[in-house]
Amino acid sequence: MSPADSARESNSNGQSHDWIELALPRALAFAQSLVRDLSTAEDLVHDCVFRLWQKRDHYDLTKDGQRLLLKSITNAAIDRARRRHLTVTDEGATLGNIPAGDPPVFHRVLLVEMESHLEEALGKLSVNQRAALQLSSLGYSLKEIAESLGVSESNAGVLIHRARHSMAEHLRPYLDQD
Amino acid sequence: MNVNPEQPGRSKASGQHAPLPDVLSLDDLVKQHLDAQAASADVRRLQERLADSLAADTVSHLASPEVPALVPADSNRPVSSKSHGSSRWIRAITTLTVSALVLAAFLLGRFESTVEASPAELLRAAQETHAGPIERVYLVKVERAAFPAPSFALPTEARVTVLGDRFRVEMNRGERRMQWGRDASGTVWMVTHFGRGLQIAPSEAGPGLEQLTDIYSLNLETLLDDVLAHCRLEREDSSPSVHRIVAKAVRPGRGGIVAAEIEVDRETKAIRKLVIERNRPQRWGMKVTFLLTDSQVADESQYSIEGHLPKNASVMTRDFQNDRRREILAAWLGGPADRWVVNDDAKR
Repeated sequence: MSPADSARESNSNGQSHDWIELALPRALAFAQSLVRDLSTAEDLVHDCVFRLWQKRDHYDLTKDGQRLLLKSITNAAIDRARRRHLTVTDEGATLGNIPAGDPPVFHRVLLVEMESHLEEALGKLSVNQRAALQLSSLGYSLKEIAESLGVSESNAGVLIHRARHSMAEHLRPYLDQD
Repeated sequence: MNVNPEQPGRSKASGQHAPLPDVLSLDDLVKQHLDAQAASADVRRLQERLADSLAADTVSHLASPEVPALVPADSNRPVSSKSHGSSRWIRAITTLTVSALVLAAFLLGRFESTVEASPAELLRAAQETHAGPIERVYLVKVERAAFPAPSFALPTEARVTVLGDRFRVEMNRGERRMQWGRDASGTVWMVTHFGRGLQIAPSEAGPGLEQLTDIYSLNLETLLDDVLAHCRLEREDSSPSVHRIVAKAVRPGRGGIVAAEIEVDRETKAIRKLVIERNRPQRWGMKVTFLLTDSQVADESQYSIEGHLPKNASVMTRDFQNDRRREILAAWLGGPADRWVVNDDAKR
């Protein structure tokens, strides 16, 4: 058995790696949405998982791994944006993936178009706003979002509110049709 | 995870703003978007990297108290029995011993792959290198796909000198030697013969000219951004002088990039060789190879038409000898002039 296989199976703390397997797709998608770059997202997720792993003695990662990982990714993405003084643009905005299924052609075209606008609208948000909105849509509480972003709850609420306003403006034709 | 049915921030909508159309639907849309992205995320390469890193960490069992505080110290932290008395000494001795083993392993090269920069880091380093005031000269070779049939003939070889997003090209068209380029404002210039030149503003560029500049320019800032955003990067066996990276598109990018092979100089981090395959469905497909031949301190004057013409030389523009300019473009590059320059009448 290779060291990699051994590492996959368990660690010295007896914690399973299952949480990593389960959390990775969501974490990678979340990171890519924040940094707008697949390769950077992979680097970022890798580093965050590794750092959590190194602190495995302190946390119940089986229970809290995904939550802590998304939190770490949020912090790392915000730090990166601050370090690089990134201005958020719609560079790299691409058509996203349409949910599986076989909707009628018109419906599918509409979904593609709306997905494209959604991606573009997300790209226009600041990293903080994007993280706040996405964590909110994933069901995180205001307190948890505030902790992840390192801001007060009221500031987190403002970030989400502004993000929603911006998104709603961008997507108004689609939302109004609903 | 604590699901908050109230959706934080939702109740704070200010009366000063227009009411949100449908906040719940918006959240649902974002959630669906994230779910779809997660469902299609290809994490295999990331899993392999992690498995290697975690295995290495398991072997070394390195404690890392200096790791940045990505998670707060006050949550989910059980009291650790390892922080007391003799176990601390045992841990310290173990750490020292294993650290020595890891160092030895490192010196033997066993962990080389974990300490080398990732392909993405190498490409970002290359971007920084090429942002400097050094111009680089590349030999460019163009291979076009037989289908779709090329709409116009292109020289298969050229010499391109690049400085950031500016470039100048020397190429042969039959018996004639052409020099053309793009300046800092995005204006394309061409030197016809001694004492004559023409300029095409960005707003006038026709589809053929846009394609031509797209092919021969080597705007690494944009190009590598596109590669980083849309391609899966793999290292290939590297030589002592270069890192080799292979990029394959996993989603369509703006430049139509299908694949790329990139050689990054180990020392300077400059792009030594770039082979890029592009495909515009139903329009064109081609493979372009850039081979670095020289690097030198930039002469910025060479990136505008003024640097190639004597003083007081006339330059044809939209406002000066426009018809003559269009004739020359059609004669030089072939096909109708509208392919190269779109005048105001055509735009209307």
